[in-house]
Amino acid sequence: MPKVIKIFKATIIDLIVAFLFVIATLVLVKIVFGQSIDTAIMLMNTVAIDTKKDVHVDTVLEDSSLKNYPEYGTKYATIEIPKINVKQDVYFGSSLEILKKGVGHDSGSYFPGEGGSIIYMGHNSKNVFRRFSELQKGDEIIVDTTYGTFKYRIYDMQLVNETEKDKLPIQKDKEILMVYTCYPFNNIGYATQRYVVYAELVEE
Amino acid sequence: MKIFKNIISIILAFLLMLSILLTVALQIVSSTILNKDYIFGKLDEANYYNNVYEQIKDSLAGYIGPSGLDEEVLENIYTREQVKEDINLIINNIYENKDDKINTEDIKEKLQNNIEASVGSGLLTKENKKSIEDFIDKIADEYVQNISHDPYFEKLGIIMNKAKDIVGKVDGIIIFVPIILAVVILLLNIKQISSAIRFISISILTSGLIGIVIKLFIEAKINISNILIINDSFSEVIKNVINSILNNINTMSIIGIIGSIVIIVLTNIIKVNRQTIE
Repeated sequence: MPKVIKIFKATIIDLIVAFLFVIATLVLVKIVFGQSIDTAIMLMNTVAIDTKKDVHVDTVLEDSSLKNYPEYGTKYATIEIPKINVKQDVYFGSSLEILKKGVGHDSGSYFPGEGGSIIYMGHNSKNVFRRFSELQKGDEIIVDTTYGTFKYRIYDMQLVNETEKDKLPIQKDKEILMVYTCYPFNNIGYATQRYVVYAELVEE
Repeated sequence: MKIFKNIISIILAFLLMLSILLTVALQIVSSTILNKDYIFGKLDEANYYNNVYEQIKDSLAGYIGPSGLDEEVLENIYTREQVKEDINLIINNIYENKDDKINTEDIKEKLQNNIEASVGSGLLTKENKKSIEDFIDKIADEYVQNISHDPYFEKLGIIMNKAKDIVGKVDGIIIFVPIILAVVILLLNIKQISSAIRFISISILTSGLIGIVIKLFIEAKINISNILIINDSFSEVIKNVINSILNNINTMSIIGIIGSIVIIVLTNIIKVNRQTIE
């Protein structure tokens, strides 16, 4: 047999041994660490989602329950308070970035039409809720969402501290819209109080 | 006897391959993720310091809306250099297991001066003064939060220190395992050194192939470019670190594969030549 073929044959055998080593190692790793590797990949993929992909689907209200909730940070409604001449966009979420754009929706609260507590918040600036003190019991708040229009009537107003979370209770017995802003309205600095307006659903 | 020797050599070559993989993995981890200077370099590379500076600016601007103050009061209360120093302090805390706090006194003082210049301190009521104090504290807290990202960085520090402890304990020992195994293979095949070198080369070749498999597996299973942890600027650093580690694995694997194939071919040439002479 020519020398070159012998060398080639011996090299191929060595390469086959190497490939068998690779397969044996991968099988070994799969058996010993398979579960942990799957968990690690799953965890990594929870923070590696393609947020640029267009997954937009319309929000629909069915039997007091929303199908396809709006994405965090997106506008899904407008809030109108005729008495104080306010009409603002409502965004799902309550970050400072969102509040710069309009009214925020506390992501821990329900959506209009779901029959529970809805919590909205906005700055006390001129364009948003500066004139909140003029609101009275019986005044209307209209929320026009991408899936329907909801009319609420104010039945109470309260001044609460920012730490008093129990004054904004989350429940699902009755649809209540709670809208708050910082107090005092003409404050200079950081306001630690909130002026809350409570309204109940009157028309859907 | 020869078959028995070959079986033992193959088993040792397999163990050598595993020990090479472990040693390389530990070396990569300790020279990248666990290396403070490497991370500083990556922060610079990802423009992290400047991104955080801009991010702080945006975050603080969110407090202006309801404050009744002009946006100008936030001007010049901190600098890019200060942000860089404070980020480095937090990174040091993570790697050195320290608890040094970011000093915000300077920021508070400058902010206080700006507010006084803007609204005039003489006209303020007692309530106004209190809410301005609260505002200053909030701004300082927001600045610290944007840099320290507690509790995430705090937890990261705990994990890093545990990992450093473990790697520190085994790092000195593990490097000797492949050396010992290679020496044993050489001693076992002392009469045919070319065979011993072949076995060692097969181990290196296998390690290289597995390195490539690991790299391809990670790239296929995880969408690295979409990773989002804490915020965009931090995610950019994470992506850079992962890509750089994968590139390291790739380079080392390719060098290992090419080098070992060359050695395998050379040893086979020597072996065939010797057989021809005999």
